[in-house]
Order: sequence, then structure tokens, then C-alpha cells
Amino acid sequence: MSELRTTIVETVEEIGRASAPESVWKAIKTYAETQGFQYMLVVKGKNSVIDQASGCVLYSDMPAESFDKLELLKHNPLISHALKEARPYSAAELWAMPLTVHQRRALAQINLSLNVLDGVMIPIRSADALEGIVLLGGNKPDMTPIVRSTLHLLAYCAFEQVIHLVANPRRAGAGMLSPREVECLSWAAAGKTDAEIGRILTISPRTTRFHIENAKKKLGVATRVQAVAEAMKRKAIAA
Amino acid sequence: MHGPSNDAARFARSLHSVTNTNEIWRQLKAFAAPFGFEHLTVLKRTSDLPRRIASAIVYIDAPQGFAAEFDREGFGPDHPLITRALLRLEPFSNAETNATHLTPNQSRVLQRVSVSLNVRDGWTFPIAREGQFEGMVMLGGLKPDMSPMPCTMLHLASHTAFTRAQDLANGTATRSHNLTNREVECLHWVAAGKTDLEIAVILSISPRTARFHIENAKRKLHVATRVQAVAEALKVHAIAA
Repeated sequence: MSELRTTIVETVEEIGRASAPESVWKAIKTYAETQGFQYMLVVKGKNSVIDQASGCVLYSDMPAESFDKLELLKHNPLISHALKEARPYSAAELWAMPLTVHQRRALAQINLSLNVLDGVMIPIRSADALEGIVLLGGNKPDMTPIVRSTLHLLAYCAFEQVIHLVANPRRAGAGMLSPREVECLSWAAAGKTDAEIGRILTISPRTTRFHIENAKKKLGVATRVQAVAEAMKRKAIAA
Repeated sequence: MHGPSNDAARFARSLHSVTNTNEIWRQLKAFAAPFGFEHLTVLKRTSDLPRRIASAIVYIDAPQGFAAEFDREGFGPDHPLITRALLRLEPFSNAETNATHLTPNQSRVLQRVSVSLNVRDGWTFPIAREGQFEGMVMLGGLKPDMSPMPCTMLHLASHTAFTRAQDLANGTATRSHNLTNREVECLHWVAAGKTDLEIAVILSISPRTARFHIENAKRKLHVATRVQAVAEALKVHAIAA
């Protein structure tokens, strides 16, 4: 738990670097698994989400057949509750609420078929519209408030990034430095001068400088110290 | 990427290089202020809670003598926020607590606290490590934004701030290097692309002193150039990535 600081920073950064929605969801999933959540389902938050199951799914790692058979999104209080709730809520909280017979049956079937005992549902809202819901479940997940808050933040961050990726599909991505530029920066980080790098890579010192200048331009920085720092941050060169 | 998630991550990252507890609380307050939370109280676990709060106070924005008076009048056991935080680890709001069934004494204490601290609503975040209650962070204001996302961000910020302060107090804070604060500061600005002259202006020292700190940092990190020094400092987390 003492590494929560690092976890948040690293996962938020990983999400920020992601160049495709799949890697965004993967980043949350990786954290959630360490906290005992085996399954994740992400749905788009249209008001029709309740009856039109398949069109709304953004990510799912549940077995496809149980997903269809259960008509998971119908009568499902896990999802319908998100239409009126803004805070993340747990499956246990739902059980304690007045539910219809259909809803109770849907909940029980999901639990049984996936062997899931509890989970957390995270509604994502912008202004007043429901953008989507992230559902996480597990057999014995960590349901402590701090884990829930972390997942809430990460889910929010993921939706931001996915919306950003959909809006600017080309701009995203970190691997924009050429292999030569990465090599030159790595040697600069190791304390080598232009002349030394030139000898190592069997190119002229001027070419070395040329690669590093291009890298600086691409990274949007003014000095080579900054370029090395930025490249490390983006994990373009090894830290 | 901008927005709340990035702000929370930036906050967590900036705590990494803070070595002074007061600075941690100053940063937490600066983080909470845009949401309308002006008031911060931090309590740590003591055997006296909830009977006496004076010895549990880590940080409080209160008039002088507030805690002593509070203890003298024996309010502790009737403070509904403290007693609830000791029982359950979930964050809760003042408004929520007000809506539950309170004894006349509890209502009186809550009202008294709100009036003397000038707080109308706020969050209480119990802090736990490995399931064990360690303390609590309370943020309040006259008209704070109580919506779910700010709550989550403040919860995470309070948790990271509290645990960092605790690590510093216990001397268990991770310090993977032997650089002085000044050396770290100078390297931080070098990484941001500043020249010796610019660093000197920022830190109000002379350029020679800036160079002196950087040279010492290079020696301690066993490197030959300042590019290498920044790379090494990032590796050992002496400066934030």
C-alpha cells in the first residue's frame, strides 16, 4: 500500500502514453488484477445501454458465451444503477437495495457463472451525461476505499485518453524517435560527447549532433539535458 | 493529457521529492483550494483518540488554543466525525453525518466545530495502511465542491500526503541517494533546460554556487557530464520523472 504513490503515477503515465484504446484498458486491467479483480467490462454510457447490449461494449474479458446467454446488460442492476448514481458503487451495496426479481436473478447468474463475489462499478460522467461505465469483479477483490478511489481515478483517466485518441488518432504514440536518435540520446545519457558517440556508432560528430538536434525538435525541448530527461520520461530510452 | 487524473498524478509525483512535512501539508492545501476546501486537519492514531485530540494533531488550521479547549471540555467522545473514522475506513462527508441520527451532544459538538473553524461541509478521509487505521485527514470549506471526482482526487491526495509524512517522520522515506536538497533542486532545473544563470536567479544564489552544487551532485552520482547526472538522478528517483 505504501507504493500507492508510484502506482498512480505509473499507471496514469502508462495510460497517457497509450496509442490505442486497447492499451488504455490493459493498463487499468493490469492494476485491477493486482487487487484481485479478474474481470473487467467497459460499456459506453448511452441511455440505451440497458437494452442494446452488444453495441455498447468497449472492452470485455468475460467468456463470450456466458455474456450472450445471460443477456448481461438486460435487467442488470450493475449497469442500470449507473444511470442515477455518480459515485462508484459495489455489488454488495446493490444486493442491499430493493431490487426486482429479474434484477436479483441477473445478479445471481452473473456471480455464479463467473465465480465473482463482489466488484465495483464506476460511472464516468462529463457534465451531466453518462459517458460510460467500468465494471470490475472478482472472487475476492480488495474492496477497501483507497483501492476504489484509485480505480475511479484510473477509469476516469482512461475515458479521457480514449476520447482524446478517438479525436486525434494520428498524434498519439510515443515511439516517434528514430532508432538512430534513440541510440544517440542513450549514449549522451551515458556521458559520451558527440565525438565519442560518433566513434561508437561509426558516424561523424556532425551527424551525431544532427540526430540529437532532430530528437530535441521532436521532443519539443531546448537543451540536450532536457531531451534526455524527456526521453526517459517517455520511456524512449531506458531509465 | 490534462484534467483531474493528470493533476492527481502530478501531485503524487511532486510529493516524491518533498522532504519537509510542512511542505506536504502546504501542497495538499494548494491542491484542495481550487475545489473550495480552505480548511485542513490531520490527526494521527493515538491511544487517546477520541477522548483527547491535542496529542493526535499533526496539522490543524484552527485558532490558537482550539485543541486544548476542545479537550478541556471533553468533546472528543462526542465528535461524530472522529468516532466514525475510527470505526469505518470509508470517506464520508459532514453533510452525510449530519443526516444520520446524532445525539444532542454530537450535534452540539459538530456545530461548535463548524462554527469555530468556519466550515460548512467537507470530507473526512480515514487513512489505513494494510487495513490498519493510521490517522485521518479532514478537508472542509464554506462552499466546497462535494462531487465524486474531486472526492476521489482528494482522497488519493490525502492518502499519499499522509503516508509520505508518516514515512518522513519514521525515517523510512525512500531516499535512494545522498544528494542534498539544494543539489536536487539544481538538478531539477537542469533537467528543465535551465542554464546556470537561470538556476541562480530562480534559487536566488550565484551562478557559481549553482555550478558548485551541480559539480558536487556529479561527483556523488559518479558521472562525468551534467546530462549523465540528470539521467542518473532520474534513475534513482532523486528528481521526478
